[in-house]
Amino acid sequence: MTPPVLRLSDVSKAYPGPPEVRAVDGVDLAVAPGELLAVMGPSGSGKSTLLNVMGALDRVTAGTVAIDGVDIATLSDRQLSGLRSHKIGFVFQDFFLIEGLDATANVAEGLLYRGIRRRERRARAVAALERVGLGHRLHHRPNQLSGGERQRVAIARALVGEPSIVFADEPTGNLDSHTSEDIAELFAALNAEGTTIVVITHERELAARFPRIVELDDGRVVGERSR
Amino acid sequence: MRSRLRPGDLFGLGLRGLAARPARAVLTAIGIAIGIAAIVAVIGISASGRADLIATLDRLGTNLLRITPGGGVLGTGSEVPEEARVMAARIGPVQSATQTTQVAATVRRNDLIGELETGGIAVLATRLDLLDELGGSLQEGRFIDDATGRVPAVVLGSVAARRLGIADLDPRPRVFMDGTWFTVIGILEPLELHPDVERSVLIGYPVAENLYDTTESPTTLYVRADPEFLNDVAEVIPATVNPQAPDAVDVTRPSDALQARQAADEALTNLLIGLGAVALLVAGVAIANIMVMSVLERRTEIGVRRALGATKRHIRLQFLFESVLLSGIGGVAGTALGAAITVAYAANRDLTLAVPPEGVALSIGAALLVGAVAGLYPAWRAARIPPAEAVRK
Repeated sequence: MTPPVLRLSDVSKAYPGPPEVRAVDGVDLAVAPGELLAVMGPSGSGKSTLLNVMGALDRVTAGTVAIDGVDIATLSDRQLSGLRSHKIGFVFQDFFLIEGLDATANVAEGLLYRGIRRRERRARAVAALERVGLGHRLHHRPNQLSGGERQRVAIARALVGEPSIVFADEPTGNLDSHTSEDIAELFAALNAEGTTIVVITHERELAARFPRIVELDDGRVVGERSR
Repeated sequence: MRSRLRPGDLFGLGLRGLAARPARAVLTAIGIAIGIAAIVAVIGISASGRADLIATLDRLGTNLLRITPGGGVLGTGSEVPEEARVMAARIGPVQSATQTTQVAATVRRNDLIGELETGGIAVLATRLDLLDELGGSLQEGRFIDDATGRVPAVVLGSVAARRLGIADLDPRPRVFMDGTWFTVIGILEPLELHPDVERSVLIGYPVAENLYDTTESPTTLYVRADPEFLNDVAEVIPATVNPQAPDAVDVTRPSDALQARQAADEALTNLLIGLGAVALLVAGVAIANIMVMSVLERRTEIGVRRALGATKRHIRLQFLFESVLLSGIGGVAGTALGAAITVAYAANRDLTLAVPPEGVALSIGAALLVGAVAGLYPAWRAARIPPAEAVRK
């Protein structure tokens, strides 16, 4: 069996109170390479906190998070940054694109902290945009793109560095249902090409489209289904 | 597996950060520009002024002493020996000595003008080397020489010429001096450090002696000495030229006036540079303020960058560099403005243009330093923002 890309062992994250809030409480989870799964739960169930600790944006209170076999608790802040730049891609609900930059430049920002030359960054950004079906929108700025297109740019930015794992936080939260379907299909297609993707969502319908669903409530895993 | 940001990309980030809010960047940079422009202009203008002052000092020399050996406490004084000049010239470090003697005569444009209307013009008997010793020059004609010193010929100081209404030597002007007509043979250029000579007319000793019984007892002695021993010379001169009443002898150094002006200029320059520095400081605070605001507004961007792999150091550098770039742009603009002001001023005042490069380098350096210091705190704050919080919806 291949070792998991991501392994959470009895992970808890508490925010100091009073009253102390245990946003994530004893979660065990393993994601194998090439998996596509949804972490689903109602708002306030601890999804975003879980995403932050899975994506090495935040540290855990208890338990261990290992990415590609490395326990991130042993890494310095600087090493965590290095890990994020090489191994992890993020897609946010609000896209978080840089307004003044065109699609290519926005995607190229995904390689900025790798020390890669600008020319190569742009070449790879163009390739990533073509992968998400935006080959015809290379030089459009975010405000010239539709919501779905913007999210595709954000997805291309997450993919451009060929990370081990991509986390998408409510990627369809700001999109209409038709566009949401397109994005879900895009994730499926990218996954078919080998990208490991974890989608965090509260939408049952969206989650249902993915091969594996982990249900979260009150900071705990309350159910798991695979198709 | 490390995060890396190329220096060129850091530059691009800073530039883009400023370009995203151009009006704000320009307004903030103006503060720095004004401070730097003030400093550069002050340095440039004072350097240009000083260049002229130094040129004047160089030309006239600072080793000339002016000695007025008459006087005495009640103005009576004792007769100064005729040998005073020769005695003074024998003092070791003295290189040359010359003199003038007040002539008991008045000068008038012609014999129809009242005897009392002298216009405050003195008549001086002069030695032939006076003009060279004082570093003066002629506007027209020639100075008293061996031949003209024996006949009624006169050279006019610049102010005296104006007061007599004589602008040039055509057609052969004459002046009337106590019964004798003197031909004007020369008019002097202004003599910066010797206003008394400017207000006099000069004749030779032989003719003065013949017509007005003038002796060679000097009214004013001019002594040029080795600059190194100038103070020693000044100390022994009174007893040398007037042994009977050394206390009545005044020794002055005409170039002191110029040097005092130079010192005053420097004090004013320092004050103005100080004001420029205050302006720079205020501009620095404005930059810090704007940068703190910018950090607050760009929390999300910071969070996204951290998520993309930026280290705290990268974030810190980005904001620090942006701040330095902002002040650097202000500094360069200010330097250009200050230099332009200096050029315009120097051209207007006919000064020798001098914009000292070290002053320019120093003020741009100061601008960059202000930007760096102003950016420290905002950059530190930007780097401290936890990434998980910054990307929260």
